[in-house]
Amino acid sequence: MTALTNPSFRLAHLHWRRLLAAMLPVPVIVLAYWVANHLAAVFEITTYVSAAYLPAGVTVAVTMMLGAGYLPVIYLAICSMAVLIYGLPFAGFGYIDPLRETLVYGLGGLALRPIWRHASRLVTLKTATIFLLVALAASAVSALLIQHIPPFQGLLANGETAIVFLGGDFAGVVMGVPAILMLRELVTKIARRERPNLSWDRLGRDLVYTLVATGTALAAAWLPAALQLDTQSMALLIFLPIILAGLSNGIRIGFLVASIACLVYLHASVAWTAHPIQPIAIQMIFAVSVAVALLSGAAHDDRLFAWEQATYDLLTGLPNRRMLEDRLDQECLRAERGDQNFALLYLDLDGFKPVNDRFGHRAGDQVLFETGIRLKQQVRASAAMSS
Amino acid sequence: MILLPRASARESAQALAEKIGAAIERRIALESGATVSVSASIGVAMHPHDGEDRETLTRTADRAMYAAKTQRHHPGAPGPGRYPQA
Repeated sequence: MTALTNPSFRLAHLHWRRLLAAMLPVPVIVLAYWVANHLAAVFEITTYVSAAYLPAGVTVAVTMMLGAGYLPVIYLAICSMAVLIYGLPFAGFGYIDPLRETLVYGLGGLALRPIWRHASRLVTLKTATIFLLVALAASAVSALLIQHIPPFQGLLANGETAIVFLGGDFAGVVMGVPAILMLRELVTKIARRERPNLSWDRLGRDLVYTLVATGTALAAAWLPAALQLDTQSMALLIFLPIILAGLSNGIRIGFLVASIACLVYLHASVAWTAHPIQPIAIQMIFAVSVAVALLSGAAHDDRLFAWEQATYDLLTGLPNRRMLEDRLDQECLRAERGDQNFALLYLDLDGFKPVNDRFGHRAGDQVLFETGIRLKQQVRASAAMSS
Repeated sequence: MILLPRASARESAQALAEKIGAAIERRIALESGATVSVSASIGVAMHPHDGEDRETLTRTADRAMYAAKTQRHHPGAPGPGRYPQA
């Protein structure tokens, strides 16, 4: 007991915990780059179309979430990845090119950091737009710099190769960052043991959009091959199911549908088309698909948020009173038709005001929040509650 | 305000009210480290026994809630179960 109340002991305790918490992301970052590297080996489909662009996305995500302090770790991770891919000692890769990647995409992530730290909701139409602009700007700067850096200097004599690098990194950031954020969200949900909010109706719609997008992607790859046309413009068709999925089911499903459609299209067109596939076309299909999914999904989520705000009490997560009064009228009508009876309960908190007065509004909010959770635990799902 | 469909007996609604009351009375730990406790006064109205439309039902439930509150503070006053119907 004395040890616990001794201030120096508590300080040391806090210090260790902080140190541990600060070190914890390091293996995660290295692992993320290792995964990106392996994906690059698996998805090296044609030259310049590979998951080797993912480090740009990982760098943006890491600096966005953890801040500038992790730039040296990112630099080391990119260096080790270069060793893994191109062999020791960097095969002419040098230490400069990893620096370009770290700095350009690190700055991009830092530009997005205010959104991560301060936004009440991460993805809105506005933040999605900012994210896409930052991704494009960072990729453009990176493509300009790359022409003056040793390993690529000779390779990039023509503009086409530069634009392929621009498109590759842009696709890597646009696909990688949402994927990492969604993965993080999933891990936190599992860690908090939150029950997933599943409904068959919703899952059915998700499945339909996924199937339609897969079918469209297959058709877009197969038709030009069957008609012996040298074109990838049919791929524009896959944007349609992606927009629909995003607009009606939100950003997560939009993103998943976009990723599935792109991968199906890529593999089908490589398998079926005799003509060599244009890397920039593939990269743009990937990047624009995800951009479209993010924007339409954000538009859906914005609308959903506005509706929830109008319908639910934000603190307790309970519907508001007007919504329940409508439900009460419905139950009265249903009971008149001879259906079963029902009960109405009124609840008032005693002792709430003293807590609010003594500990402040923040404590009062916490009490309301906790009460909302306990109510939801006690009352079965068919019952309706309001604040 | 809680609406409980398919509740045929007042006893089951009262039992739920007591369960909710007990859950809410458990102490709540605040972020600051302090723990506080609040309690709930719950009033029950049954359809069709206490009324068949929204206004009557909400009025009955509201009165029963205040009766519960009064009884909590002044034991011996008419409780929610004994409250005369509206």
